[in-house]
Amino acid sequence: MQTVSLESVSKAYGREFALHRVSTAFQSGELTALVGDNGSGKTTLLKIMATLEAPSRGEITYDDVDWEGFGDYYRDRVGWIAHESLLYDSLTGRENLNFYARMYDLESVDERVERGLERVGLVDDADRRVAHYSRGMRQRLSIARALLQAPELLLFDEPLNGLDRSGRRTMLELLETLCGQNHVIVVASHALSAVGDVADRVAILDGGELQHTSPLDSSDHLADLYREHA
Amino acid sequence: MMGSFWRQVGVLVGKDLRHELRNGEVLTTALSFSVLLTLIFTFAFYQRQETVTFVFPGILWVAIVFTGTLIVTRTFAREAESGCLRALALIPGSEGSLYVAKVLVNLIFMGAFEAVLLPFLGLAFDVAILESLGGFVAILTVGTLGFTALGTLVSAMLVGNRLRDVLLPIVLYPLAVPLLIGGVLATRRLLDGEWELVWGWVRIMGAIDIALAFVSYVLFRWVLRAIE
Repeated sequence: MQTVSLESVSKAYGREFALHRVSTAFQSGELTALVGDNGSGKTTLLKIMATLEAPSRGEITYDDVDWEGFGDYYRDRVGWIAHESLLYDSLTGRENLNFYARMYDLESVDERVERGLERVGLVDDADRRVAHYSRGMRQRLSIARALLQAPELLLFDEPLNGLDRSGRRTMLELLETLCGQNHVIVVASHALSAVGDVADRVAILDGGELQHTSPLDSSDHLADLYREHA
Repeated sequence: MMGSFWRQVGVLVGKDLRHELRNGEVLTTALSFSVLLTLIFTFAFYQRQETVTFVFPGILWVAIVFTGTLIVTRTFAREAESGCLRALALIPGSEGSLYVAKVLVNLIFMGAFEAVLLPFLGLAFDVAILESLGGFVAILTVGTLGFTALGTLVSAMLVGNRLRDVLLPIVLYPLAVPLLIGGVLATRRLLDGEWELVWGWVRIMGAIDIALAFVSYVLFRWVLRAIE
């Protein structure tokens, strides 16, 4: 996947617009920081891009495939990471990855699971139940889960929430690694300084409207843009 | 395509059974609750053998409905706690397999507690269960299948609601009434030895099951999208 394009996308709940006429494009190999206050429409935009919610109006294309076609046939190309782990506490780390790999009907499940555990540095803890994992370990396993089926579009919804300093550092390192692998990556976050260090581009939402989008130089640049536009 | 569907069902059922084997949270609660109900009902209603035909069917089905409610309420608890429904919703074709798997898991749990409840009640009320075992199995199977098919859907509808434990019986019971009436009357006819009427009721309940299962299966994908 090279590009996800949004053309005048709106989402209304009753008479309220959660998103209003958002037009932008997300490119592969680029990490976009999606920033905005609570209720600005960040999660709604991610859910629409993941085809979990239908837009009320507007068009979305994934290269040349429309929203409906993508949802019906290519939804497994989406990886979703949120502040919730989306993991089963009663299963071990390895069992969780195994479960999702089998649900996706992937080939060479054991190999993929081992590779996933290695990638996030959880091989030694793979046979412990997730209930006994720290917040940072859960988040790392969550990333391994989201990458199992090699998705091309990676959506992060507040991935740094609740992480301590080392957890954040690990997450940011993983984001940087992913950046060089030709994924389309969108990270919705409040943590401007952290996400500003790894993002290539910023999209600022306010009240459901896209206020600003531009390439990004640094976290200071992001903070300045945020003050100006949000 | 169908192979993938049933593979997903198998993976989901295996995951839930593994969880239950490790924690025992559903079956332990269900079994202790049904034994308690049976004891209370036995001491409250058992007077003499002639009254058994009247009270036994009601007690059996009240125990099934109350305990079954405990079971179906927990259907999506594990998914809701850690947001796994969202991860599952992103897996192509998972809506249908998730519903079928959850119905199967609930059927296994309900079947397990009914296998304990029925002999226990038979002993308490001096009912020769083994003599009419085929009839009991048929009635309980069709009754449980419809209740579970409906209960799984209602449980999904309420998964994001903080009052789901209160709302589930309010929504589920009125919809399950035709099935429960059928179950009680069929059990009574069975105790009277009127086999022809028993099979008549079993057929009616089977038809209700088909309707409930079909409608619930179709509605489930919309419910899943709505809770997402």
